[in-house]
Amino acid sequence: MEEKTVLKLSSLSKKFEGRTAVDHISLEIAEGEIFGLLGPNGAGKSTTLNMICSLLKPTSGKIEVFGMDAAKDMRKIKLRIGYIPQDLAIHGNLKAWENVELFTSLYGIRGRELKSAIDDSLEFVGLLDRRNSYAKTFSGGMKRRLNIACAIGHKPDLMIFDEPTVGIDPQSRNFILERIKQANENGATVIYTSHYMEEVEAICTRIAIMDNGRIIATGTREELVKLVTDDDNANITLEEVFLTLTGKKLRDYAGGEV
Amino acid sequence: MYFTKMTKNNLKLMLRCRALVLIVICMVMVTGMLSAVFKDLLSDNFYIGDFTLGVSFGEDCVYAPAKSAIQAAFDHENTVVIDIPYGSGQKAIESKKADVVAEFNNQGCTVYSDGNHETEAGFVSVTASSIISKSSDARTYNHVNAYKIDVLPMPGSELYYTAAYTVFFVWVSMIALGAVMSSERKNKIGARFKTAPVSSFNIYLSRFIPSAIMIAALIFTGVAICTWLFDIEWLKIATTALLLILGCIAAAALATVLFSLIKNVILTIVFGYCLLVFWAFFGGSFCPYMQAPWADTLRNYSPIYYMTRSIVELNTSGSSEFTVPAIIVLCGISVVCIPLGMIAVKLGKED
Repeated sequence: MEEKTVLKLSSLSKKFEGRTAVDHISLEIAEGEIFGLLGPNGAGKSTTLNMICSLLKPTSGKIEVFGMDAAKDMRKIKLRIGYIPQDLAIHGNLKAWENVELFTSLYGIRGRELKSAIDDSLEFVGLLDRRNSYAKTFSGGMKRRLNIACAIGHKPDLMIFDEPTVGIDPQSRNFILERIKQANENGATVIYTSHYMEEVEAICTRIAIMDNGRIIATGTREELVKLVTDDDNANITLEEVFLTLTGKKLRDYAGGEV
Repeated sequence: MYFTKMTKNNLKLMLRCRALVLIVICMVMVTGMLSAVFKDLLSDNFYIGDFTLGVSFGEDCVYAPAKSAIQAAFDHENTVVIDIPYGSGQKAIESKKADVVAEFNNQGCTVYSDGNHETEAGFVSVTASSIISKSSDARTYNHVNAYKIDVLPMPGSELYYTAAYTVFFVWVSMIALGAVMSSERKNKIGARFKTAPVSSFNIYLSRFIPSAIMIAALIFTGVAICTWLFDIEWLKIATTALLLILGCIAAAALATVLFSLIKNVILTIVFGYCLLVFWAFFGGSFCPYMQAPWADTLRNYSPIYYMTRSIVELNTSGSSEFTVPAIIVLCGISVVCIPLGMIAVKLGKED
């Protein structure tokens, strides 16, 4: 069966006041993949995701999503993307179901379909029994799950997770990872960024490593390991591969959109 | 129609901001306090008793055409206007032929009164100043011999302060939108709007509509409580309500511009407060416009002045020449601010 390309980036660049955050990257992600995007702070991961989601305009290059040009068909593309931002984007003074209702309605879903989407989304993230609780009363992990529920109500074909497990307990992290795998099994293509190597190792079918705005390596875990050692029996973790490729020097990135 | 759920949820955010109830409480408290404190001031200083006004004009006096206007200005049951010979003002007072005398000549007007009619003499002085001012204008503009004297109806302190502070709090209530905007900014909700296929027009409506509804809810609740507590009789309830509704719409339109244009919520509130203080200062919120000596040019920049004066006069004398200007000013603010707000939201979404 022929693999369909969900996302294609061609020589994509983004400059901020003379500083290059993303430097001519090209990438293809096929339907059904869980694609991991790794990189140290300031590598350009979030900038790349922000351009895909139209939060930022590229300086140059082309983005194609589901075969549509992002510069021309962004409205149609947006209907099929679910973006889970790194920062919690939920109203604390709204109840869980109201948050999901608000953000799902932005995609034109209403009536019974909206009600069903709210329940499905809350059930998917394990918050259906807390649907009437205010978001401000939730723990960090619950807020992260609600943050996800708010982005999946319209049943997107492409889900983009920008570090969705930052600052939460192992149980919540495990739950989220399981749900991402389930969403993928249900047919969604997933792009996932994280600093936690073991997460990426556990769920991603293919991984790209970014550094200084460029993609320095792409492949499956095994293919990446082969880049740093020829020993088939070597017990090398993804973190060791990452550090070998990007170096051990500290990356003190002073703010901004990268 | 994506904005309906957004509107509903933004309205919920405002309703759940308990601090907004303070607007109603403050409105009632300030009105009650000021109307009690200034009750005597408004009733004593402006009570015009029975009196006889003597009027005379010097030879070739440029103000002579104002005679009929003066008579019309004082034409109520308490006043008798009589002609007296020019130069006999003091004598007319001493002989008790008149209680107050206004003698006009080309240099201005001299007002005489006995010690028992100082309030009436003050009122005559104000009226004379108005005639002289208008005559100067008339002389500039081709000797138009038509005079219209600005006679200010005197309301009770409860009515005045309820009207003045209802209008004042219409603009204070702009802060209601802050409940939504601070939550959106703090929680970076903008990212959701940017990644969803929702237009900036829908985002604008979702801010403007609940803001107008919330301001109206707060204000009409406050008015209802004040009416009940202070036993206020509204002579023109429909026109008053119309002015308040237009005020709520204009305040919501202005709030949406300010909150969308200025990224920092605190800075928006400070800027809005400064603008409000300027409007209120010249508009009769802090000092009744009947007593305030502010220049007309500054008053003209205050929508609060038009609203307050119109509502006070409508409910004191049954009509006001300020109603139409007030409606025009409020509609003007909305007409300017609504497209500006849409542009500000669009710029904010693209930022």
